[in-house]
Amino acid sequence: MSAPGLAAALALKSLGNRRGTALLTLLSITISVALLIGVNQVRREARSSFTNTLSGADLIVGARSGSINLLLYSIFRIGNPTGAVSWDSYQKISSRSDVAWTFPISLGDSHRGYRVLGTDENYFTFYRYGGGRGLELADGALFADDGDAVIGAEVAAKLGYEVGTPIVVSHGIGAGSFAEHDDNPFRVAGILERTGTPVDQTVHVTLAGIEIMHGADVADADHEHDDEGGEGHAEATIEPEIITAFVVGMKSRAALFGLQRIINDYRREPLSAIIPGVALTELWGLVSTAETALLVVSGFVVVAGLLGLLTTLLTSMNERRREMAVLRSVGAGPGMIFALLICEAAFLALLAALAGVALVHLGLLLSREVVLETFGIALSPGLPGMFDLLVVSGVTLAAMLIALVPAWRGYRNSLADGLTVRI
Amino acid sequence: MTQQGTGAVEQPSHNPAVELENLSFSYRPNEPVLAIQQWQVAAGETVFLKGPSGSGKSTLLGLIGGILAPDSGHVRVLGQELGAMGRGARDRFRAQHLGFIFQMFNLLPYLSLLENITLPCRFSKLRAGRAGDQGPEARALTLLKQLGLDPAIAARPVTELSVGQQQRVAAARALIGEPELLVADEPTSALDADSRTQFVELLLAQSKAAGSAVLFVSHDASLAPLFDRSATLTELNTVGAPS
Repeated sequence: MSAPGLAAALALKSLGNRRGTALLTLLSITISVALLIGVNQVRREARSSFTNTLSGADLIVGARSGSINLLLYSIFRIGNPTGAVSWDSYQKISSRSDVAWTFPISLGDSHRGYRVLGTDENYFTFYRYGGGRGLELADGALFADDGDAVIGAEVAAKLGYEVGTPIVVSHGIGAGSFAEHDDNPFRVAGILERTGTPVDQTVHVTLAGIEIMHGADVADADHEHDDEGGEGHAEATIEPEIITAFVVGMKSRAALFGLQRIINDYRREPLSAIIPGVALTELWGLVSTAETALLVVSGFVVVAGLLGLLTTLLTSMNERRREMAVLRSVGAGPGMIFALLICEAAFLALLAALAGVALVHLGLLLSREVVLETFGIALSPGLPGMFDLLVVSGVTLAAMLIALVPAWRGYRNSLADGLTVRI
Repeated sequence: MTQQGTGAVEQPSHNPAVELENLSFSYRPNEPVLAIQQWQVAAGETVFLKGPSGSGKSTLLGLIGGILAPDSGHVRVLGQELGAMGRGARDRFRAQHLGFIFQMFNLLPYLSLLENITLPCRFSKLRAGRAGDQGPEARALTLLKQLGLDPAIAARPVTELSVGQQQRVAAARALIGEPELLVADEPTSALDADSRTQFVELLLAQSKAAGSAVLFVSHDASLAPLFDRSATLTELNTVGAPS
């Protein structure tokens, strides 16, 4: 057997013999690697999930606000709308000759914790996610009248709804909102295919449906709505006074910036038009500091794990002087003692890092459901990628570098001790 | 480990197993710990060397084992000048031609009993070859039997063996592959008086069968009559034992 091969074989056996301490060291490295990989994985998944949520839309228009805010509340249902857009402005912009299509978004109500979104048929025609896929019905049909609701896959699955189930909408968001619009229950008309986007957690109704529901509310005088919407309630008109936001698709992207400027300078009311991709980039810019901080912290945890390995190896050096003398007596050179210790560290770190990678990917696979429900982030059960490979080889290499310290000490010891077995 | 060319083709020679000449060694300049004018162990000879602690015993064994290199003079083992070899060559030479038994803790706890015995065969093809056609493991089991151990103990972890058993396993390791020189460093000091004699007798019988010379270092003079010849290190070492 070649000398490196023999050193490697002995290192494996030696590790196996000290599996108690070796396992603890391994565990600490595994956890640290899992943390690092996990942070990176979730970061990446979150990004791709956000990026995949809306595609093909050119502009999102809402009341004047920051672009990130508008993007978050209109598309990702995160946070609350800061204002509204008048129906009049919506009509004017959507009828422009350079606009191909639009769909309105009207938020503010909820059903058992799921957001209710008022819109029209264009939503189902033009909404694109995951790089161009459109919404598909899994069951039932789209809106036939204003009492119909089309629900996302998650809503249907979690609440056990089928086509025909009547649902009652609450004002405000949250599972136990005080005011329920129970005089005008909706009926589930259709259930959408799963998309892995916030659409899955949304109850879609028509704009008129929302108006009728709110009109009935006002008659009951149970509660008050936003000031802005107050007047509309009394009449219960089919056309809404206001909507929360709308999404615009252009005929030609060349006119995109022109229209964006026109909307941003709109005289009648203060509006903001944002380009989704640009807003997302802004969002990443905002969170990247936090992401970097998390990655750096995780990196230091890995360093701490490796220092644990160093401690374990160094403390074992004294009790292993006898072992080294025995190896020397049967013909091992000091170089072999050196190689043995490096191999031990490398094996331990490699195993730990691989276990860390496996832990993360298994964990993500098992927690997909929960993460999707809680955060609306669709984790793709991807195979370990370049980053994982980089971390595994990096950690192994770092362990070998760190092991130079005990290996050098072992080398020196074995030169000084020779065949003398020190007890 | 690669095989050393000269060792592989060398026939059992009539070169002395150990030959020291005008040897001097010091760890620090001008503080010699060992100086021997002339001393020999003949091929196949068994020698008892009485060496109290502090007599330069570890140093002498280090020199003969090729761990240390002399400051001046000659250390020839099997006719080979160790001082002329590089460190790696001395390590290989030791693997090929020498067997060691220590006072205690001879066995690697992470290897099985048979792996411990056959370890020298993994460092030296020459010794693996000499262990016989059946392979080192079969030879190890035979050696166990010849050293008075039940081969069934091969299944036990080495850490569960008694000290007496451990020393016999160590002897089997030193003997496997028939090294020309066997160096024993107080191998009986951890044994009780009865088993000492028995151990040495078994060891000598097996080394005679293997044709190995034996250099047995001990301070227990009662064992000396079992050997061909005995010597005292304090008399050989002209530096003298430090108080």
